[in-house]
Formats: sequence, structure tokens, C-alpha cells
Amino acid sequence: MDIQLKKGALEICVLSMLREKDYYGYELVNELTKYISVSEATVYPILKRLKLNNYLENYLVESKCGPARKYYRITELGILRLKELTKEWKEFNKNIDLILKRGCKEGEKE
Amino acid sequence: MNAKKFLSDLDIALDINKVPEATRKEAVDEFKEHISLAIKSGKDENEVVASLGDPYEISKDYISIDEGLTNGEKVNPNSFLQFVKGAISNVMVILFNVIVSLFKIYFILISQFFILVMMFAGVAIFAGGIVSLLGLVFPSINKFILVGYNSGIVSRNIIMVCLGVCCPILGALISKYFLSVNKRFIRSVYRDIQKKKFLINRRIRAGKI
Repeated sequence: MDIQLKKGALEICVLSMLREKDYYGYELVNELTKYISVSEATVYPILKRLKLNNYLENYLVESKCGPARKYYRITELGILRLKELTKEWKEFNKNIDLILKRGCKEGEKE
Repeated sequence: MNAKKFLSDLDIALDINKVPEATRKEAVDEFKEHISLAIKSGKDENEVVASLGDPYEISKDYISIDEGLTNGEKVNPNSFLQFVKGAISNVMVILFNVIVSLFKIYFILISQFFILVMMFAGVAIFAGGIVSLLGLVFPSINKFILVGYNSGIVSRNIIMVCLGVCCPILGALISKYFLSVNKRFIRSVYRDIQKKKFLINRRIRAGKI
């Protein structure tokens, strides 16, 4: 799958995961790359960008071993953004499916 | 590549791509944490770093992440005018850097000069004061030193001794200031060299040189 296509989808995935629960960076990246095969390194810039857009925020939690962990939490603005993106995504998916189905029918005829 | 090399390469690559310092530091910290947690979970350091990929490619994802951020490499070879503009601005930047460097070298020289002058002045004044004080106790000494020098004023001699002590201390303080400026300059030069080395290494690996 094309890397650019995946990167576009990652934003909505990150927001959706954080809607469910709070994650710290490493945990989120690991969980996400289980489903979508991208380099772990591509997720961190997305987290940073979402944070700069105020869709996410950080808070620190003391850890038993090692330094405090930086958790990510979705903001109100982030939830709104997620809703918007989900709607767009569904619409986009529906249209792609329609186009793909047309392609299939043509293929069957030949 | 080990973690240390990866993180320093990432830091330099982000710097080359003009990512603001705050974002740069945060990104490096985040990757540092990622690597250390991955190692803790039992993975091999080199494998973890290899799975993250090329630091320069990662750094590109941070370009224009902040508002008003300029792109690292903006070259439009189609427009001759733009090429000329770019060339002129590059020459200006180089000239400016040369002038600034010269100024800073001047700074280094001044600091060395200061410490020497103050040391010598200090020793001379201190010795003068001591000898004159001795001259008060043993008037015969006066015959051997400066002819016509009146060592009779005690307060002046004491002031001379004090000045003699103060001079090198003052000199050291002043040259310390110059040296700290100098240290910052050397650090920035070192950083520039690192950046150039990084870019050259990349081009060698890509087979362009």
C-alpha cells in the first residue's frame, strides 16, 4: 500500500485510539503498527502535529521504573476533528467502493 | 547504527531541515524514550534503530509541522531569476559569516592579550609595592632601586600591593568573559561542521559523490 495513503489514514487512527483511552507514545505506536504496517517513526511526527493543532495534549505520569511517561489525551477540539474526519472518511470510502465496483463489472464482461 | 548515533543524526537532520529547537528537542526525546522502552521489552538495540529507518527521512516529516516554518531546501531550478537571487543571498550569508568569524577571532586575541597584560601589570605593581614597603623597614634597599623614588608614603605602598593582587584577578575575570563568548562560537562552528559532514556522508551513501 502506498505510504502517503497510509500517512493520511494515520491521523484518524491516532485520534480514534485516543478517544478510547489515553496512551503513552511507545504504547500507542506499538498498538497502531499492529494494524497498519508503517514504520514506527512515522507516527511520532503525526502525534506532534496533532498536538500543535490542539487536538491532543500531554500529561506526565510517574513511572515505577525509569523516567516519567508522557501520556497523550484527546481534547474537545480533537473529538470534533475526529467526528469530522470520520464522516469524511466514510464518504470517501463509499465513493471509492462505488468506483471499484464499476471497475469489477467492466472486468467481468471481458 | 547504535542508538546514540541515530539520535545525534536525527538531531542534526532536524536542524538541517530548520525544525525549531523546541520541536527538535521534543522529537529527539520521544525517539530516545521509544528506543529505551523497546530495548527494555527485550529487543536488540541495532534492530530497533534499523526498524525506525533513516533519520533524515524521519526529519522530513517534521518540516512545516509548525506554523510559519520554512522548508529546508527550496530550490526552483526553472526560474533563472530565482537562481540569481539565491546565489546573491548565499554570497551575502557567507560574507556575513566571514565578518562575524573575524570579529570573534579578534575576541580571542583580545582575551589572551588581556590576561597577559594584567598578569604582568599585577606582578610589577605587586613587586613595586612590596619592595617599597621593605624600603621603609630597611632604608638601605632604596639605594638599589629606582633613583629618586620616594618610598616614604606607606598608604601608597599598601595600595600598590592591593592593586597588584587585584590586577590578575580582574584580568582573569575579563578574559573569562571573552573565553565564554569564544566557547559559544566554537560550539556553533562545531555544529556547522557536523551538519556538513552529515550531508556529505549522505551524498556518499547515495552514490552521488
